[in-house]
Amino acid sequence: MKKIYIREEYCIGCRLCEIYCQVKHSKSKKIIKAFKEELVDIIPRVLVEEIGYNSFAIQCRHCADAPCVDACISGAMKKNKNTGVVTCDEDKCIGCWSCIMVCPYGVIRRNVSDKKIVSKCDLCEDEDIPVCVKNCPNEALIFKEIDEKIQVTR
Amino acid sequence: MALKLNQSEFEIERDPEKCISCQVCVRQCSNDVHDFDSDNDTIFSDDSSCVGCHRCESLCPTGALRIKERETQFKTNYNWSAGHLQNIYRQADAGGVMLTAMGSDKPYPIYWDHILFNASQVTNPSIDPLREPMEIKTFIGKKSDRLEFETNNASGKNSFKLKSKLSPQLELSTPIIFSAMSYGSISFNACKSLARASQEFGTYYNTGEGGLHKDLYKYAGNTIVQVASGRFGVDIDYLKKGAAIEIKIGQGAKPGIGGHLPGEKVTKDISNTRMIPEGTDAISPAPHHDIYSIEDLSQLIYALKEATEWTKPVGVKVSAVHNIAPIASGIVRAGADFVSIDGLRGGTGAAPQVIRDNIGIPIELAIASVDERLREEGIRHRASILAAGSIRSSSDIIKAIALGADAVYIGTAALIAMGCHLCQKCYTGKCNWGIATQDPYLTKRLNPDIGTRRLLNLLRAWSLEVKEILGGTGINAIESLRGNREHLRGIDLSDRELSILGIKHAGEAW
Amino acid sequence: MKAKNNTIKENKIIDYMIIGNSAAGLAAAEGIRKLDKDRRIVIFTEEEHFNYSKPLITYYLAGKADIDKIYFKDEKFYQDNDLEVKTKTRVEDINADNLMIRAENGDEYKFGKLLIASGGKPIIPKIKTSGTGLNQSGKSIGFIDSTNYKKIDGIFTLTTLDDAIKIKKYIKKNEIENISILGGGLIGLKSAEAFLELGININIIELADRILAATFDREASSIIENAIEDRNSKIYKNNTIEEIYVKNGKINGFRLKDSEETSCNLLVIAIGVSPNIDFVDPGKIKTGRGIIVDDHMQTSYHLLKRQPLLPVYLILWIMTAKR
Repeated sequence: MKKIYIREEYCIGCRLCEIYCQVKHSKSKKIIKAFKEELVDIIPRVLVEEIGYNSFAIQCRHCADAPCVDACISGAMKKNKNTGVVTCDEDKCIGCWSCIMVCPYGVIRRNVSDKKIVSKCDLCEDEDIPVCVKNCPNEALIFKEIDEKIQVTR
Repeated sequence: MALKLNQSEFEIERDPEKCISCQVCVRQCSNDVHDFDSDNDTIFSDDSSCVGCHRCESLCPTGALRIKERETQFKTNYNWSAGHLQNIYRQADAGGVMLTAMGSDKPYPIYWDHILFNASQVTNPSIDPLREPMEIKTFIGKKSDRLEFETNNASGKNSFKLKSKLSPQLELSTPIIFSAMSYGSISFNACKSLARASQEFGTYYNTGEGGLHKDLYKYAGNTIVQVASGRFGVDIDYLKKGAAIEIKIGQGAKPGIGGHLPGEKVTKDISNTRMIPEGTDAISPAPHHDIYSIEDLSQLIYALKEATEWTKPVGVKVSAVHNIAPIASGIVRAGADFVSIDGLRGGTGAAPQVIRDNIGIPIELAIASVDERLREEGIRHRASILAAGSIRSSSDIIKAIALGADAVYIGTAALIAMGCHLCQKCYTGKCNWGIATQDPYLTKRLNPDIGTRRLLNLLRAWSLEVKEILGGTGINAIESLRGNREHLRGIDLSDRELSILGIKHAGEAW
Repeated sequence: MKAKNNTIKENKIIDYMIIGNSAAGLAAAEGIRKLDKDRRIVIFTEEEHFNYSKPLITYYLAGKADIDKIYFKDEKFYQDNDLEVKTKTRVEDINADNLMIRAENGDEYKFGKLLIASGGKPIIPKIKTSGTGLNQSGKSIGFIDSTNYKKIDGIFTLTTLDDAIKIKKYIKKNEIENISILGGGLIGLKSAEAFLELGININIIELADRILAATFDREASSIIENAIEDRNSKIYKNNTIEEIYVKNGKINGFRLKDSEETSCNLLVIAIGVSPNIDFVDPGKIKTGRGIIVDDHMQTSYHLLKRQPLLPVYLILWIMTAKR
């Protein structure tokens, strides 16, 4: 299953990935309109963590055995057996935030801009590559299938 | 200080309709030009610190920024231009030597732009490089005076075997080599991109004065190692690893003086590579202190050949100065396998502005006179000529070769391919593109994968264009173009200039 | 979700039988399927609804969730995991010696392994009543307890979807403007949240000196108490209902321990749950406050039993069990 991986030695901390994620999940899907006219705060699903000059972007890992799916009390969080993508059905989500508490990567975000729910990476299922990967100016984000049982060393 | 005699060179135009206050510009500017005001959710830009590197404009997701040169409005004065006034203000402030970087930007005549190339018409038909073989492979090194063959008729068939021993050669798949840029003046990622691109394309890059970093040993087969006046990083392993050795006497941007890497930029990695203590200034003296005559140079050349068991070409790099022709002749007679000539507009990481802009001569004139002199003396074959100093396009390459060069060095062009915007502030170490800096926050910005790819693209594109131009004039091998002045015509040049270049004026025929 | 195909094909031995179609039962079914892809798994539930997420019933009550959207696992889950469900089938008795259960309608089923995941049922305290119209002869019964509380209109518990549906209908039909909740624990407060969302004022009557006494410390409890009291509601602490007034078979009001009297048309009793194990014979399978189990959750008769626990603990339990 292709997932998004970060090469932190090339992440420059510009946060363009966050911006394009916000555009993708906006109503208008147009960058200027989304930021200037849409009243609702759009939550980016990818987050750039920084310490000193080190930075990296992290988002949902779509875990094989996802703790968020187990923790979900309303059945909103589901892992698609075929694509492997873990998605949150926003109509069923009741904002109990149990998934946020159990996520070992801390990549599920609280979303109180409209209803009280959660937001997390959905691998941009209707795009050929996720918009964060496509728009990273330094190609730090890659979209690849990697056998995670083998440690990748560079 | 309160009295600002120095005006800022650039102004930043931000379109408020397009700016979404995403703060990418704020994060990416190493000169802290942009600042986010959280009270009213806008970004304020301080023009005075802007160096015109365009990093913010290039990354802005909505294209809201435009960097413009800001004309300082003095009373019109052709003699006392704004540049002169600014320099005096700065020197009156600080009392130091004015530094600058990259090649000279002064409006001296650019001879490349006054030379035109030929094409075939009725006779000697054009060749289509996509349909027929076009040879641009180039060999750098000493060519033999004569070749002897063994003939063997014993088995009844005529067979020939080469008897003469050839001098060591560098084989280039294209007549373009990456110029000397030291690790220290540019970042490791930049060096790595140059090394990888040379290996993948089949050409070479030059270590410059910075020594050879151990992580680049795997590209050693494509590395020309430089022995400069400071002898940084020079030991027997360094000499043996390189594919060729270049003794650096001078460079085009600062003829007559040596190099200077400030102690702040001498990190642990650079200290190891250059073999100097961490934090000390890396000063290359002006002369090699063991070369005070042409005989000393000859001695060093042969010492290096002995040390490397005569397996590698050993050459010499000089700046193009007034008497470049006899100097080159002397160097060839001293035993050099190649002579690199760096012209007036050569680039650098740091040099005093007065020296960069006023010392040396343009490379076009230098190559022409050197090639002419060596041919007259009958020693042209004993060394290859490498031309450096602002090769900006494939047409410059063609013209350089037609004037007599064997191959060209590209420095500035390679950096531009990797993202450089020629803001001329390399000496500050704050290069926003991750090229001329050692700051770990900034060096991340040059991803060697991307750098290598762009350099390969540049080499590929220029090589194809060279082939196209050659094909257009009915030539199918770059050998046939070398020194072939008949394919060039000057335009808007004086008789004297035409004579020095050795070319006719456009409109004149044979 | 509507109940579908009660697909008990023929009365062969059911390899894995699970009593209870909610979080625990379904988690167990999914876990069993990971290890055993072939044998039959049959789930019995006394409810008529397919399955639903218990925490969402108050959202349904508040009008925030559609009844179509509160399923916990969808039909595909049952198909993919090859599970059979028997709805509206309350288990009445476990015949441990013969590895058989008997349903309320008399049907008997044999099992290979049995998992009791029947959850909890609400505790109804014994409260004195007075007034009219409680039994056919019009005389007062004198008290309510778990056996007869349903005979009085307007007294509800809230642990199942059916409860929520009934309450919702009752509110609509009777134009209720305020509701009293006996019990300031998690269930009581979740129902309070739903009623406040509907714009109805509430009274909470709590035995301890603060609400959520079993879950939070004093400071946390007071934060929530303040939030509730800010919304036109009243919390009675250190108090309980001593007598319920009934009129014509409907609740009319009640008297508190401190003698204060209040009128009331709808009372929700939410003082806690106890394990839903009426069908377990303590002679064969040891029980105490729940079913007594060993480290492998096996009963004294080596059947499988899960303790009914509050939702929070259930989530953590499922996670650890599945590993």
